[in-house]
Amino acid sequence: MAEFINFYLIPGLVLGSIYALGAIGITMTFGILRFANFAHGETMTLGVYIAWSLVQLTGFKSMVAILLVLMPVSMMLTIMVVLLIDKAFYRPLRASPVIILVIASFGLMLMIRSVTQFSWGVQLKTILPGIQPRMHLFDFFSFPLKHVFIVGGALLLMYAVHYVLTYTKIGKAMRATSDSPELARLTGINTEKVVMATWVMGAGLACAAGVFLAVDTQVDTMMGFKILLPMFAAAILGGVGKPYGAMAGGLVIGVAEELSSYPWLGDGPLLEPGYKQGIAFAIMIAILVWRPTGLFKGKSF
Amino acid sequence: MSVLELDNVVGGYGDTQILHGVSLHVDAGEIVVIIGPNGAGKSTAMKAVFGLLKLTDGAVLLDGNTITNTPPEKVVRQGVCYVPQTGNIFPSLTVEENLEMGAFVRTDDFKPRLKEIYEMFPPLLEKRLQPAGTLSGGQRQMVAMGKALMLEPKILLLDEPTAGLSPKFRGEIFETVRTINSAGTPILMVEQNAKQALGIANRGYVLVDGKNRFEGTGQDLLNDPEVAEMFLGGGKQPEKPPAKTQKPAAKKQPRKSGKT
Amino acid sequence: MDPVLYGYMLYGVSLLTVGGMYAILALGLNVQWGFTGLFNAGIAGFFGIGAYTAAILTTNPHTSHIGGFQMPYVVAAIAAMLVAGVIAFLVGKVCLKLRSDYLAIATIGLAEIFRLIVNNETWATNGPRGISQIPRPFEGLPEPINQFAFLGVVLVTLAGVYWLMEIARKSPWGRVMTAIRDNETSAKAAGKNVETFRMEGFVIGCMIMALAGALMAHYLKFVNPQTTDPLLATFIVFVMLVIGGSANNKGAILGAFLVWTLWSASEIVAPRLLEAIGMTDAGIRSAYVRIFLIGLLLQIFLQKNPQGLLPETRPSSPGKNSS
Repeated sequence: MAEFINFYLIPGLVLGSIYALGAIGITMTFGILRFANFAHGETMTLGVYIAWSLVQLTGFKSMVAILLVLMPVSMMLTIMVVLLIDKAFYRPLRASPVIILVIASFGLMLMIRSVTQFSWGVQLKTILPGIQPRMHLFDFFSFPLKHVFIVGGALLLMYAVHYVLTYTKIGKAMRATSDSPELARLTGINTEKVVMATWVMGAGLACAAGVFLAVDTQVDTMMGFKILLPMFAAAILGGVGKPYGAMAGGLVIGVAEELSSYPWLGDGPLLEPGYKQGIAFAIMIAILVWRPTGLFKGKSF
Repeated sequence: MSVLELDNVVGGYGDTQILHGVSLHVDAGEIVVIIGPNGAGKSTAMKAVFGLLKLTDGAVLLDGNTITNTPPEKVVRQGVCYVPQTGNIFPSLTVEENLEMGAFVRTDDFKPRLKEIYEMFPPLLEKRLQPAGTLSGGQRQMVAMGKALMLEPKILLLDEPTAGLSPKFRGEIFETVRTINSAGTPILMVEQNAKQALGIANRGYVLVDGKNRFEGTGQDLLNDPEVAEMFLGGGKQPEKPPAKTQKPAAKKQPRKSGKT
Repeated sequence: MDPVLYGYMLYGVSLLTVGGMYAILALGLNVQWGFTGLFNAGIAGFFGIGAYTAAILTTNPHTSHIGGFQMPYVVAAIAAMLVAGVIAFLVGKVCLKLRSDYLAIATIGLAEIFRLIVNNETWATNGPRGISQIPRPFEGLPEPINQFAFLGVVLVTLAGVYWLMEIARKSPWGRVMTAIRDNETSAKAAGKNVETFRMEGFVIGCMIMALAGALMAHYLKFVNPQTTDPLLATFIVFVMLVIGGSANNKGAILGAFLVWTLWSASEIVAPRLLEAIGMTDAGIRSAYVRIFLIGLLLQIFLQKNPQGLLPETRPSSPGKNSS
């Protein structure tokens, strides 16, 4: 039981929190800008590398310093880059058919990745040097301290998202535009401002998710792409355009992935670890076929 | 000078032209109704005001100022509010949030106006924290109209407000329209329920195939045998309405009209 | 012959050969995207299915993977197409009713799944190490005749596919496809079974992609899950269609040769340029520069000329296009 919780469930929650943060940006872009943003994973990766550079620059070594000081700065820088990308590449295509936007985001995915790879090289790096302390609670729970920070940080950010969406004018405008961009225009809502807010929220969260993932594992130029499919799956599972759905979906998928390698029946893992990435995909296809609007009744198509 | 005027507008979507020279106007305090067969261009004429299609000829004037082909977000800011036939509320937002969004372009405190809207539509106050998508059809229409009214517009455009509603609710909606109008807002309304609509209208226009066909006071159109035959189930006797006032000259004037 | 000239000649032959295979890929995608409006981002998957099927069917017996059938090339190619067709049918049953970007996500996911399976089921595919010693048509002939001969195979195949696709495009079938792409609701109203037509377009496109994969397997004499960075190859084909002109078969071919030449030539030019400006790791970094530039070229075309160099030409038909 302890093994189940410490080595499968808790890692699942950690991974799920990371997926959740990333999926919020994807679902809001889907809902408000109306297209699947394939470049979202690369935004995440870029954010991590920016954070990594800041770590090298400042010499900060403690997790607290990195997460409390450097991460917000990285988030702001990532947001700036994304806003520039929107201005140069997405805004001119605002009125284009969805397929064109998707192809553009596909291209941007490769372009952003090439910039990251060009600037930092492809060797694996770490953002948090040294062995990380483990926590032991009640002689039962055992997990790395950093997991506390990751899950805690993710919950904090999710609450911030909730606050913005529920209590601020722009947040309500975002939800409204996600419900119906056409009606938002007719109502006089400043849709360009809403679009900008969407990019800000998505990019900031993506950077945070990436930094959390890097703290948990390592820094790698393909890390964003590797979790792109699970993030899409999380967004679709939760219902496209529903940020709370994305949070829930992320957690479900993260936990499912980790639990899949638990030896439920007998000795070996239920699913070969090599196929772990297939779980998110299987869940996504299942949702698309059986309940396309997702858990929270988001957009269908 | 009319509050709103369409002067011989020509236009459509892409290659398809729908309006072939439509003219109409709405004066202060009026309820003006557009009726006509399906595909006549009624909703299209309304959308033309809001810049939702490309007008290739003719003009749209608001208080005498040209607003032809102005995009919707700018038209709203000029004081024209439009309630489309479908998709006219934000379903996942609460009733109150919907109304708040209606006031988006206001820079002043909208709370007093919110109170007024709740007074006009008491059921909305009761359900203000409910997601608008969970309300009944009639109540959703109220949210849609209340939202549009948050800006205290110069004119309100309603596209088939009773579409899909049961007869009981239809009556309520028409009553609501009259109430809104009594409070001073001129209304341009497209309606399929021609008889009831004309019953509360000052004036009406009949559009066929994207062109003006008939026009006149609500009463005249109700009594007109050709119009009756086309839309009002021809041959039926139109109901006898009580005496009506002439077109009001001042802005605020209580409307008396035939009630159906 | 002067060795430098000989080198250029061989390079030219390889350019045309690979360009030709990409042209076949582009024609396959054109059926799906250009004519039917389906966004298939899983090109690499079907390409891989074709490559692996051909490899498995034509290689000698081997302990590290399934093999030993030693079939003739044409049979293997047809088999590759059939396997891809069946898989495409199953995929299509599940995914085709999805909107374009959902279909993109689903097909990318499928390509990834295919890669995972190939990587993991090493008993069949030899996993990451791949299948080697794949035979190639005409390889017995002396150099450089064998290169030219294989180029001939590719060009003949390309010509055949082009000819068939042109017939399809001008046929009533082709016209229904574009009608569905442009206005699904009125096509449905006209009584056309949209699902069936979409499926046919999808399956045919995937079969063509598998054919290109089979050819590539023979050309390289080797396949593994990373033979070409699958995402990059998928992306390049889209760039080819956007630049050349989607919904236009000539445009697809033009785009393929043009983009492939640019891409290939940049492989030579980019490292030298980077070295010249004093960049370290010029060789590795030039790859990133090239990807960035081709991505940029795509964005420029998407913004300024999304129809491509050779825009769609409709076969003459009575009546207006529906809007």
